[in-house]
Amino acid sequence: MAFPHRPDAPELPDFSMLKRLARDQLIYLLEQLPGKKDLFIEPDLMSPLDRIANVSILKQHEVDKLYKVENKLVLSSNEQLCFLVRPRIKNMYYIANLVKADKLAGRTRKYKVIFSPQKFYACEMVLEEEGIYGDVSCDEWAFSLLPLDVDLLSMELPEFFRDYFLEGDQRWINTVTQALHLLSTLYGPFPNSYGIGRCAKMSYELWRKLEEEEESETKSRRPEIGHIFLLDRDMDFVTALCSQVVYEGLVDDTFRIKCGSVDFGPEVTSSEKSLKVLLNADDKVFSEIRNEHFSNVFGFLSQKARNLQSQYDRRRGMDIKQMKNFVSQELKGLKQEHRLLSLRRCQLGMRGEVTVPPADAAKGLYFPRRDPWLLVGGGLLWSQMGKSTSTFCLKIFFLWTIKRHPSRTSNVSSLFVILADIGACESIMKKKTKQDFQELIKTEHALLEGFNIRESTSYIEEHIDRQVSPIESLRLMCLLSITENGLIPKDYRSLKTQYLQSYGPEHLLTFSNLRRAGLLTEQAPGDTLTAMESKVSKLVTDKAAGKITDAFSSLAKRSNFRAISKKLNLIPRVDGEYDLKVPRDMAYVFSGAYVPLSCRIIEQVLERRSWQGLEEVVRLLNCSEYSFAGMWCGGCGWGCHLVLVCQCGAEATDPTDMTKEDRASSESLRLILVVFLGGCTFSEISALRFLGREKGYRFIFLTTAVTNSARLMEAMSEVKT
Amino acid sequence: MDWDLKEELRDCLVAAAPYGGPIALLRNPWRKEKAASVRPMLEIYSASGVPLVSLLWKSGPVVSMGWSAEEELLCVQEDGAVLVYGLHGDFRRHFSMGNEVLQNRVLDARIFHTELGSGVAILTGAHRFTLSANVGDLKLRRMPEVPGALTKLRFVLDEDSYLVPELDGVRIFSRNTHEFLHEVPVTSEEIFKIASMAPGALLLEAQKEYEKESQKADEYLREIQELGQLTQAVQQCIEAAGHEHRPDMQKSLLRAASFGKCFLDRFPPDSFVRMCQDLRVLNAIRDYHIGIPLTYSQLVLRRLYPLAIQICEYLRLPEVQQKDVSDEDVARAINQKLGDTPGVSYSDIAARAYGCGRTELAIKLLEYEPRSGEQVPLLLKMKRSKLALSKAIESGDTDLVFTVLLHLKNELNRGDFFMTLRNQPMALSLYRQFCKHQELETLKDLYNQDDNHQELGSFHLRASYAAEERIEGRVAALQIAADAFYKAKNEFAAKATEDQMRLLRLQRRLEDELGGQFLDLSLHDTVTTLIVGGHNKRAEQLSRDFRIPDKRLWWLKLTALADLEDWEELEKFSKSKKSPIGYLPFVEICMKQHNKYEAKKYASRVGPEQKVKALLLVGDVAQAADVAIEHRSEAELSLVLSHCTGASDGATADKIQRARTQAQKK
Repeated sequence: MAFPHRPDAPELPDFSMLKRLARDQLIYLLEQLPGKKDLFIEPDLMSPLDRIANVSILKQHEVDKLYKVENKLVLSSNEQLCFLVRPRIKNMYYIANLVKADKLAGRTRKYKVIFSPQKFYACEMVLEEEGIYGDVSCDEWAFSLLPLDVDLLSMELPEFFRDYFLEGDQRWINTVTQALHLLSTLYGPFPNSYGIGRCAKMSYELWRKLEEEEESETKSRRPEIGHIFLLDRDMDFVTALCSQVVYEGLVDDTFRIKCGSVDFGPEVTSSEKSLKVLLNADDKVFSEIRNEHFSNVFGFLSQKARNLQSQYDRRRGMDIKQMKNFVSQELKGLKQEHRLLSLRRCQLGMRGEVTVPPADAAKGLYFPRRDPWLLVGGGLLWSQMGKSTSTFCLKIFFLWTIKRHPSRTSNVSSLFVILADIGACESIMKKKTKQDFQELIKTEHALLEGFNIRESTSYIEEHIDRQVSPIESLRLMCLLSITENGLIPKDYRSLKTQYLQSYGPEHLLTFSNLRRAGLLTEQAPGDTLTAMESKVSKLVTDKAAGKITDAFSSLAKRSNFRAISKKLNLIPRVDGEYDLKVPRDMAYVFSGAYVPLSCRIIEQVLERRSWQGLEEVVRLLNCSEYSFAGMWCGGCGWGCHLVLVCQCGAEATDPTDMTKEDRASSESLRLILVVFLGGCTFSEISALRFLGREKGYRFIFLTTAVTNSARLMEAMSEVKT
Repeated sequence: MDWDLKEELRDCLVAAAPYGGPIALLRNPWRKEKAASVRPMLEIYSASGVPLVSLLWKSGPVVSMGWSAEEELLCVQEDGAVLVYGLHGDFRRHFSMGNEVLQNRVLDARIFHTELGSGVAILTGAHRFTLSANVGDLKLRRMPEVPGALTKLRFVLDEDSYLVPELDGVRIFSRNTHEFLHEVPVTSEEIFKIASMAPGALLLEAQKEYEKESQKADEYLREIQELGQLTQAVQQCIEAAGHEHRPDMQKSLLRAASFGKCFLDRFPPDSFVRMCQDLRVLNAIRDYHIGIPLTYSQLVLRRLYPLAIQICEYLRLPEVQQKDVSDEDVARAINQKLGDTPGVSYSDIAARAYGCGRTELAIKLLEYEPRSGEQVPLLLKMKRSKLALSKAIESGDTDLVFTVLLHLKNELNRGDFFMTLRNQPMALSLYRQFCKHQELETLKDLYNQDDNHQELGSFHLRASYAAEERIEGRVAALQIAADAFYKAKNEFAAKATEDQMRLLRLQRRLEDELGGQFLDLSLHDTVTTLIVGGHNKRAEQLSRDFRIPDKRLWWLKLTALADLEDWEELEKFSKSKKSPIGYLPFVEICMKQHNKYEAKKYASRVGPEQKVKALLLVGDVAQAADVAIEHRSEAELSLVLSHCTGASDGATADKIQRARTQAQKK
């Protein structure tokens, strides 16, 4: 359980500096508009902003009221208005309308627009066309890297995925480049680079250009992060489309972790308040179970519970003073245990083996003015039903006692944590019982392994017919398509027809999107396939060919999953039961059924320090032109040379004085930065953390956003507005 | 000085380039007490002490270093070999000073400058001199005796210093400071001498008083004018400004000159203007970051430093005005001179060339500009928009691409503009994105132009629910979409669109006839709504018309009737024919509605494969156990066992255990 890192594993760099930088810059920008001002914040920026600067910091810099940028206009009486927005056209119209309304009313105020992470020309153009460009001042808040955790940096740009992989819009690449540049200025240089994917290659090249233009002093620094790996999301859709069964991924799939925390709404907490729980490495218990397969958490928690029990036994016979002391010392730890225990129930609930306590019991527990022993009784009842420990009720009693002696009233919030988790279990149950979770997992595994395709297809069909969930159905269809290299024409038509009947005709557009992104395609008839393929490759070499993107989207994106899977051994051979308690490979994140493709690619390249020997895989990924490995001399002080090895296998020549020892030492560095362009999932993060523990690496993740199957599907869906 | 020296200057070999040039230091030179294994560092600093480069010295012991007029660092080794480095420590070439030197070793060496170029003089171990007057064109001469001694200068210094002879003075630098000592020019002396009555001095006073709004200004001015020396006064001020190093002093002198000029009828402005320009250049390069403390007199002699090219541009020196040379050659020549020196902007030079009317040369020059982004604005100005577009795309900066696009849009007619886009997929997607938000009509034209019927179909399909409100308009939009899909040979989409047209019309009719909300429901939801509303006939008609598969219909009806809790109708339905989805769903849905009684009815009809599951659902553990035992299925047995939790289940559990042991015995 939560295996420690090898003793030779490197320390992670301190990324809190990024937060400080962002905060300082924001404060600077706010101070540019001296005096009182109202701040209008784009909803998408609220959570990231919250991680950087809380309300009191904003107030310190004379932010008076906070408003959400949304469709309706707000009446603000302040003389100065500041807008903190993403560079989106619709935001520009919002601001324009507000300014124009003021003008009509004969009112003059100061307006300042802060774009994050950067402004786009198109936005300024809209302001100009609306005739208010002269009335507002524009600024940029270059906040593009949010450290969500000690090893996870997120750009919080979920739209990157749709913009790039569906619309072919490259505007965020510049942002990625700037972020990489900032990272290498602070934590660089990164001597060895690898990557695969069109976007990865482009970002890499632009970033290098930027580094060469700006002679920073990083070049003479000793590198810490030895390797950087860039990967496009479309290299591996399969992993992102699977249901997550690793703890943190499961929580994300069920409750949506937003910006590193989960919001339990009123329906979950069974009270008026909603509750926000931060999930990161600071939470010791969470960090012990986050990477675990959910089936393991039970045993772990029982042990923990027994420990708690003995702690509680110590408490007996204390007087009030001693108890207070005990409270102050132990409560912090206990709080975390609460969460643990309750979330364990969520998982068990999902496995359908344990009955969740009746809501009434939980609600009864909420009112401490009732007899405490009743509460304990309620807890016991629950623990009996849940085959669980008595620790839960002990804690309820414990907390009740604290409430009676309100010297530490703040601790009562722990109660909410528990109640929230009980509610959470219930809502998981509601969501998951519509169709059996286990059956779903079974189908997914069958798709990954490529057997019982007919059975899986009818499972999906039933899924659609029963209107289980539009997003889930889409996900399964895509998974079927990618693993099978496209649907056979009959299924392609019938599944789509069924889907349209269930969810409405506008999804014709969704299907058109999915086809363009290569997520849901029709198998081309076998004989013409090779001809098509050669046609495409001809188009590829002739760069002037204009329709290249269109040609690409429909034809070249054959996923070849089965062949890749075989080549990279993604489906581990089953000999006996896969012991999820002692994972033997990264497949544990999918119950031992499948090694995530993206992680396997990274593993293989790191092992070889190049793409050599992976030529066939690269070809199957349609990426012969977009795989690269570069070595970059950091020690020469001045002119830095870059060896870009296009096409795997080409021998790298090193024009610099970099000695063999230098190179060897840079290669031996065990900190690895993995950049996911288009998002990564918690399962992938867990798998690579596992790989790191096995090999003595430490991985750092940089992603455009944390994603999961639902987010990917939603990005592709057309919804009526 | 900005440098951070670890060692005393006297422990280093020092060489400073003339004309305020850079300073080279070779730390840790070869001395007897040092172990030979320690390699020294060669470092080059700007005159203000900003480090330019440092590299490890890997060759033999160096006796002396010096800078050539081309600003190359010459390092004379003990064995007479001379290594030549560039300003940034790049190795250029090496040459030898001959066999005699090699044999006798080098005692001392000096670099000197003549009008021929830079030379090297060497004092050998045999106390003879060998010299070459021009390192560019190597001819060795051996001198018989010591040449005449140099003029010496006396100046009190606080610490270890190093002197550099300059054209008009001497530079003195130490660990902390860098000073320039020179003879005070006559004009400066005249103006700033205490109690000077020179016309320049008076003019400066006059101007100062004028600024104070004092009448004395007039008195001073009158005094100069009476002497008829106003012209001379202005000239003196201009000249003195040139000799000043401090911008504020330069300014006040120039202000004085300009003040005096007002009272002159015909003073040629050239000298004033030129001085202003020169000073701008001088101040720019004297800037701490560039660190070339050039004096006015030196400026004229100095044109080889890369920056000088830009200065030349500024000063309108005829570099790009030689109209007879081919563009290619000029561009190459300029490139050769400048190399890839950082801080030199090719786009600026190109802009200059364009200003001189040499567009082609400008384009050639731009090729050398490493930052594609920098090339774009000029290319646009020169009306090379298409080239600008490819350069912008190369830069990866979408904003730049967008700028060019808007430019192109105004410049070209629509057809040409679209054609240009067609060949640039990246720009095309960018423009499409823009149109989606801003110009929907243009988007349609764009698809039309490309005969992209698929996207056209999607466009109208979207319009059918996003843009149109009236039912007729929506149906019409769908019709166009369907036609487009046919043209795109996407029969599936075309048929689905036609189905949607039919459904829309039908939903409209249902609303008219039955009331309630039908429009915009999916087919499934439409049928459900009908069933829930009790319109079973219509529901059946609809599912026949739209060929709803049996399985879906069963799921749909089952869910709808259970929601209504119409158990009677449900039972009737279940018996209407054999269920295509089995009877387990019936059990499940009844249990969901907490109706165990109804659920049990269906549990008996569930097929053998799912029987155990069904029985467990209705809570009949004992019977489930019997069935499982009968099936002899281990999986089913353990499933039942996991449900044996109640107090009354003990017997059942025992029964299962017995069955298991029996099965094992067999």
